[in-house]
Order: sequence, then C-alpha cells, then structure tokens
Amino acid sequence: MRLYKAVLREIPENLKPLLLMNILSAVATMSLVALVSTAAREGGTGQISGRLMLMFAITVTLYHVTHIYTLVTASKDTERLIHKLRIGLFDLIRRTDLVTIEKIGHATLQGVLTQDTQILAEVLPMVVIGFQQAVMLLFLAAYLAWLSPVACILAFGLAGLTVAIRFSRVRALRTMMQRADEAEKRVFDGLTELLHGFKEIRMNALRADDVTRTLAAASRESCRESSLLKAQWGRNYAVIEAMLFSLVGLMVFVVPLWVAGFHAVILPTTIAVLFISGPVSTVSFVTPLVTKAEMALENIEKIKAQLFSAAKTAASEESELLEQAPLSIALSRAELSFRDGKGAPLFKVGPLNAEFRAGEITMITGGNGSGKSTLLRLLTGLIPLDSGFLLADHAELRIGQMQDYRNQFSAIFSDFHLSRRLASIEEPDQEKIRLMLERFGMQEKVSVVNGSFSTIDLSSGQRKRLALIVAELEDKPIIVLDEWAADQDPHFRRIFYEELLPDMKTRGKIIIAVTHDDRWFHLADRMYRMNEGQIEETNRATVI
Amino acid sequence: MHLLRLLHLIGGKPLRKLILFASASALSTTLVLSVVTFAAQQIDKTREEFVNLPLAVLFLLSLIVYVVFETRLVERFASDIEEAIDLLRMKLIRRLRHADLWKIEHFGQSRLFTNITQSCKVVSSNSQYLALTMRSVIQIGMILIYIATVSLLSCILLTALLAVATTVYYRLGLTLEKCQEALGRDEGKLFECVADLLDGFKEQRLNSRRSRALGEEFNELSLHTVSSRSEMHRQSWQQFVFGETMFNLMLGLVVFVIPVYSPSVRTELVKISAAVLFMVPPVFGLMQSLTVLRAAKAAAGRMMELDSELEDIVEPCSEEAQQSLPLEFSEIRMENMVFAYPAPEGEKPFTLGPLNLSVKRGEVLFITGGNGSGKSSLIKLLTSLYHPEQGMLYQDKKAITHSEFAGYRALMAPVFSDFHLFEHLYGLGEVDTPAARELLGWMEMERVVGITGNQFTRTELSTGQRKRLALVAALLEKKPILILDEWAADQDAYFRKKFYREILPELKRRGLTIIAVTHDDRYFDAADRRIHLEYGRLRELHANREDQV
Repeated sequence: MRLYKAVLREIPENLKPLLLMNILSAVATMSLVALVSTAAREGGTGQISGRLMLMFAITVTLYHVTHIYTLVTASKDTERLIHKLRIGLFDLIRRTDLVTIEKIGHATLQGVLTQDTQILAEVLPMVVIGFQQAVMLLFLAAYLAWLSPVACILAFGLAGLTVAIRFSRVRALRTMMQRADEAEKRVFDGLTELLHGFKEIRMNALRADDVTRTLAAASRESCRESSLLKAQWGRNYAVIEAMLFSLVGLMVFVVPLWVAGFHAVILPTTIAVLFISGPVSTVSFVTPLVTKAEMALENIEKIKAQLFSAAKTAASEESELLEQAPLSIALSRAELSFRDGKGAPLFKVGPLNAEFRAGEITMITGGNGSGKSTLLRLLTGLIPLDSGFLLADHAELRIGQMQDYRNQFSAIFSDFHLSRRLASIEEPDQEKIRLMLERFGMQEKVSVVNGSFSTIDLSSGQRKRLALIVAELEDKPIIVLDEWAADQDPHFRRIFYEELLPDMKTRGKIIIAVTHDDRWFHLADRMYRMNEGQIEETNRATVI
Repeated sequence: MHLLRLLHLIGGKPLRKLILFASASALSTTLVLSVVTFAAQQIDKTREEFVNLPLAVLFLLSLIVYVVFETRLVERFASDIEEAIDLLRMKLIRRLRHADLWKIEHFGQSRLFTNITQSCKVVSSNSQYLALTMRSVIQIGMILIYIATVSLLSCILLTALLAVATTVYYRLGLTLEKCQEALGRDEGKLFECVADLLDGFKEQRLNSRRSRALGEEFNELSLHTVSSRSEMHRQSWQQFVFGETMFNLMLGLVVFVIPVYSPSVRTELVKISAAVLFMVPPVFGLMQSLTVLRAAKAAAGRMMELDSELEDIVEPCSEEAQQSLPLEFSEIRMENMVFAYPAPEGEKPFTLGPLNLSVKRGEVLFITGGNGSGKSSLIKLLTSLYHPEQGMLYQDKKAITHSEFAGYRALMAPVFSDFHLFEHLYGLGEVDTPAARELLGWMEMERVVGITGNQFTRTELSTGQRKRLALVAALLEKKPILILDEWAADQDAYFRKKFYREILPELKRRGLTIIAVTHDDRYFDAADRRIHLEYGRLRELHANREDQV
C-alpha cells in the first residue's frame, strides 16, 4: 500500500501509458497462445494459412515492443522515485541539528540512505516485472476460461496455492539466511582480528593458536549454516517447480474426469497452461519482494518523519546574520545534562562560565571524560544549552542567528572528518595550498586536483595536518582545535605551537585549543581547566 | 576449471554423484513432458474424456523422483562446495598465521580480505545456481533428444536457432556487465558522499557553504546513478525480452515452418510445441547462471592463486616445531644489524643501521627519535618481526636462529604504537581474574571496563583508554620484557605523569625489563638509559639530561 501511495505521489506521470502498453503486451501474449494452438492443429490438417502467419508475425512484434516499453519505462520511473527519496533524505539530514542526528544514530541513517534505497533499487524492477506478468496472467486466465471454465478455476487455484506456498516459506528461509550471514560475519571478524593484530599474534604463539582455533570453529560453523540454508532452498525450489509441472498434469489427468467435451479443447488448454507456468513462477518469486520493498520504504518514511520536524526548527536558525565577526564569544551559566533512556540524569556539565577573545590563544586542559568535548560542542552552537546563555560580543545570540554564528568557526575536533573535496572553500588559492603543504611536509604525498585532495588515505597525524590546511584556507574568525598536536612528531608540534598559533593570533582570530602539551602552556593568553564537568580559569604555571 | 579443482579439494569423486543426481532430475522432467503430451494427444485423438491411470501414476512417480533428486542435487552440491571452501579458507588462514610481517605488510590487506572473504562468499552464495546449471544443461540435452525422436528435422532446426539465440544473449550479457561495473563505480561515489555527510556532520553544520556544496554534489551523483542504473535496466530488459521473443520464434518455427518441409510431423506439432515450452525454464536458468558461473569461477581462481602466493610469504621455519629459550638471561643484544627499506625507483634506499644495541635485564631503556627515523622498525627488528639483511640477535652468548624466533618472542610482551586490542585475552589460558582486576584498577579503568571470563566487557573506547587495556593485556602475559611504542602519547597530562612516575618504576621494581619509545622529554629521567635514533644510527645519551631533538 505504501508503495502504491508513493508511486501515485512521486511518479504519477507515466502511469496511464504504462498501463495501456502493459495491457497491449498481455493481449499480444494471449493471441500468441491462441495462434500457436490454432496453427498446431491446422498444421495437423496439412494447410498453413498465410493469414495466420501474418498475424503471428504482427503479434510477436507487438509483444516485443510493448514488453520492452513497459519494463524500461517502469524501471526508469522507479529510479526517479528512488532518486527523489534519496535526495529528500539527504537534504533533511543536512538541515537537521546534531542532537537529533545523534539520537537517531549514525548507523541507522547510513542504513536508510544506502541499504534501504539500495533494496528499493534492486527490488522495484522485480516488482515491475511481477506486476507486468500478473496482468498477463489475467488475460491468459480469460482465454483459459473461454476454453474451459473448470480448467481455468483449477489451474488458477493451483497457481494461487503455489504463490501462497512460496510466500509462506520466505520467512523461514530469511531467518536461515540471517544465521548464515551471521556465521560468515564471525569468520570475517576473526580474519580482521588476525590481520589487524598480526604483530601481536606473531609475538605470541599461544595467542596465534587461540585465534586460529577460534577462526576454524567459525569457519566450520559458517560451512554448516550455509549448507543448511542451501538444503532448505533446494527443497523449496523443487516443491514449487513440481507444483508448476502439476498444472499441466491437472489438465490431462484431472479435468477430463469432470468436463464433458473437454477433448475438443485439451490441446489448446495444455499449451495455454504451459504458457502460464512461467508468469506464475515469476509472480510467486516477486510477491515476497513486495513486502521487502514495503519494509524498506517504511524505514525511509519513518526516518523522514523523524527528521522533518527537527529540520524545520533547524531551518529557523538561518533567518538572521550576525552584525559583525565576533571579537568575543562566551558561555554564561551554561548547563547541559546527559540523561539515560528513562530521562534520569547521568552526568551534568556546568554551570560553565568562560570567555574567548579575538587575538588571544585560549588553551583548555582536562582529563579524559572531564567534559571538554561537550564544552566545544556547546560553544560552537552544535548542541543547544539546557540553560544559560551563549554570547557573542556580550550579547545573547538569537535563534535566527545560530547558523551564521556557526559559520564563524573552523574546527578540528578530535573525531574530525577530512573530506576529499575542499567544498568549504570557494576558490582554493593554489599557491597558498602549495606553501601550506610544503610547510607541513605533505607536498610529496598529497596534491590538490580539481578542488579535491589527491588522496586522504593517510595516517591520522597527516590527515590532521590536511584538516589544518583546510581550516587555514577557510580563514574563519574563530578556530577550534581539539588536541591537534597529539599525533604529531616534535617537529610539527613545534611549528604548530610556536609558529602557527602565534600567526593566527596576530591575525586577530579567536583561538581555542584543547591540549595536553604542558611544554607550551606558556604561549596561552588564557587557560581553562575542565574537571568533572566544571570549568575554572587557571594560572598557566599551576597547571599540570 | 577452477570450480572443479576447488570441488576436488574435498577428495573422493564428488562430481560423479552430482552428475548422477542431475541426470535423474533432468530425466524425470523429460518424462513428465512426454507423459503429459502423450496423454493429451490420446484424449484429443480418441475424442473421449478419460484418464489413463498407468500414465497418471507414472506422472506422479516422475514428479516424486524429480523433487527427491533435485533437492539432493542442490543440497549435495552446496555442502560439497561449502566443505571445499572451509578447507581452503583454513589452509589460507594457517598460512597467514605463519606469515612474515614485512611481507604481509606489503602484500596489501584489502587484497587478502577480498580474496578470502569476498571470493568465498561469491562461490558459496551461488552454489545452488551452479547446481541448477549442471541440471539445466543435461535437461536441455534430453529434451532435444526427445524432440529428435519425434522429428529429427525439428531437433536440428531448433538446436540451430537455440545456438544462435544463446550466442546473441551471451553477447548482450557482456554489455550488461559493463553497465553493471559502471553502476558499481557510480554507487561507490554516491556512498562515499553519504559517508562524507554523516562522518563530517559537525563540520558541515559549522559551514553553510560546505553543506550546500555537499547537497549539490549528492544530487549530481544521485542523478548519475539514476541514469547508469536505468541504462543497466534497459540492457537487461532488452536481453530478457530478446530471450522471450526467441522462444516465440521457436514456436513459430515449429507450427508454421516445419510442417511445410516435414509433412509426417504434422500430427506431432503439439508434442514439439510443448517440448519447446518445457525448455523455457532451463534455458533461461542456464543463461542467467552463466554470469554467476563466470564470477564464481573467477573467485575460485583467485582463492587458489592466493594459496600459492601465500606459500611464498610464510616465515622460514615458522610452520615447523620451534625451540624455546631459557627465561633466565642477563641481556639481549642486536649486533651489526642492517635493514634496508626498498626504495621507489630512482631513489636511494633508506638504510637503518648498522645497529648495535644491548638491553640488560631489569633496566628501563628509552628510545627517542623524530618521526620516520626508524623507531618502529627498530622495535620490529628487536622483536625479530622484521628480518635484517645483516646482523643477528643474541640472548647472552647465543645467536637466535630461525627455529628459535618463537621462543625469543615469547620473552616479550609489546604494545605497539599501531597496536591491536583483542577483545578476548587470547593465549592466556585461564585468566588470573584478581590480577586482571587489580591491573584495571591501577590503570583507572575499573569503572569503565570489566573482565568476564577471558574477555574485556567493552573495547569501544578512546585510544588512550584502549592503550591502557592493551597494557593490562601485555602485563597479564607475565613476560620478562615489556616493549612500549609511544604508549603515553594519547594519555592526558595526569595519567602520563602517573605512568612515568608510578607505573614504570613499579614495573621495574617487579623485575621487568622495559624498552620504551617516547617523545616525552619531560620524563626522560625515568629511564636508566636513553638512546637516540637519527639518520638510521643509534646514539647513547645521558638519560636524565633534557637533550632535545
């Protein structure tokens, strides 16, 4: 139903011509059956009618043309449907706030955007042909009913039963498939472990034995599960095929028992039934796929609904601009509580009071889990405060200004993402890029081609250097650096603290750096220390 | 034929039985065909409605035989293939387990992954179609023979038409495959863009321009995918409808053309038409599985090839019995060790060494040096994971030979800079749980992670925290030598201090020999000795002076 509605809503343009062509192709099939059986009998009398042959040629051509038209057009349309769904989702995600995105979860979103749309893309063409063959079956049924109503009822009764059996067995098969996949995934995990932990494994023969044993067990299990799955598949397949054979058996061994005068139509009936079995097989194969497509569509629509309201509020943050690039940003009595699934508080950050000024280097220290990352997220406007204020130039930010406020930042978080494309920079300055790459010792590893880095398959320290180059090219008023220097060697660490940070300072940026490098604490104009969700301004000398 | 070679790994003569099953299944369907058409014609001829009971029984019997043997065929084929995969997979894994580190690092991990996991999957997930292909071939042959018994001319003409159709169909399939490859590439780009949005969500929230650019790029990529997928569909439907039309033409041939040339067949046209219709499923099945067959064949080939390639990367003597070394020693030493990295063409290779280094039992040794100075390689040489071009490792007076590497390595527990944290504490046998708990407490991880059985309760933690767990695991091994490569780099200032001021001295007190690569000049005094690696050479420095790099 969902599928039907989505089709009506998103791609209604070609439905009428499609239906027409579909009916034409079904009529062509029907007349083909009639022609072949008539010709087979007339051939028996030794006379071939030229008229019949001509009709046959026309029918085959009509069949070919309408068939291709229906399938190709319908597939194209389903692709358009998927495109619309995909683009809609992508844009919604883009406009949604971080909290909603994290609540829904990375894996879910990725699943919807890639797997579910992929399922639709693969399944919908099958549904298309299933529908096309179902229409064909309707016309063949009419023809069969004209030959012999009883034969028609019996044949389609059995055909219906075949479809039902296939449908009813799908779930059991899917469960087995899942188990086989899981077993295989365990082999994959074991192999990943073997390769990633290879040095550790080579260092310890006992560990190597253990890992190999675990893998052998997983491999064995995967072998067993797959064999079971295939055996079940084989049973299902053979039974369905046997039922399709029985369709013909029914005509020659059962129908004659009941229908007087059947001998006159037995040959065309047999041929017609042979024509039916192909489409019946297709329809029985496709019916379960409709459920699969419906499920994928349901997932997509569910996530869309969840994102929709959030994206609307997020959009309201784009209405106003800041008066100027801020010279000071601050948190005032800012608080945020983390709650578990039932809403009970787990961990509270704040009240936070902290100010960051243009032309100053502000360093933030604090142990693991002290709330540094949360501080940065609040300060950059990525997540809203529970209470308190976010200030720019000592004035509280209005909702409408939030997006413009966020646009003032370049940030390299500890879980930063480096994208290959320099999408955030309008006209990348080639000369500047070259100089920066050289300064960071990356000129031989990476270049910028067509606004993209030639590679980002680098160590995390090297990728952070590229991220810093991007930030410098963006040249925003505020820069946030979360433990940037942690995976750099002493040489680049020194360049970073003693050359880059002071240089940014003279350019009047607000510089916010989370760091543990006490050797360079003296360069800070201001220092904060985070501890158990609280912040305090500290003297540079007393920090360790 | 790689698939057959793969199948023969399981020993015996698996093919013989499979062919038997396939033939029985094919024969029973041909029987169904002949029984049904015969019965229909009988009714037509006699102009009377009756049921030929013996024929009906024969029909039922054929159906039963079909179901039994078709099932057996698929089942047997799948289990044989799965068993062969299991055998080959474990053979590859056993080889890997004994591989040489340097060679593995330069073999390409992704190639290993795809060849082992993907190839197995391709063969395994298509095994039923392979079984059906086998049956279809036999079945088509039998139906053609059946037609030949009715009319030789029909058989010849139909076979010829079938051959032409098959060739064209196959050709169309090749174009289709190209379309599929193009589609795969487009989809890869599309998914990369999705990852860019989700992984870089914060970044795009902080930058409207980036966000917009991302949206535009995705739209463009999605449109690309739409057109290449539509093209792929067009090709595949064309192929499909071509196949159907060919069958229609075959029927036309039977009912319009053959009677003209072979008047005697006129009464048998129904038989031949029915036979043609019976050929539809096996012919289509066969055509569709040709692609699958080719993919499976290639996958099986890749797996076999990998087997012989892996043979070359096994560390010498590693697969043989290894000798252990005494746990009591007073020093380990590397003498005149030279290690050359293969350089890209036209450049001078970077050489490490000659290195001379002696580590006394119970001392704390720090190794320093800039990025790329070769510290990590030094560690791998010292642990005998890399093999030098010259020079030897010694335990006291004894030179370490290939057959003693495992014993030598058994003296050491390392935490490498690119360490891997195993969720299971493999190789420890029964885990000493109280000791493990105590270590977790010492690393201040007891509130974050527990140990149940021989497994950490979670390992999805920050790098700093995972390094602490890796240290716990290394200490649980109770080896005399502990090797740490930039262990403290990801710790915060507080825990770094604890590590150098409390943990290292305590470990030394317990008698461990500690070799640590470090950058933390503030704590260089925590070492007994410090050596500096520069330009591939080692230089001994005073431990407690702040010599800067």
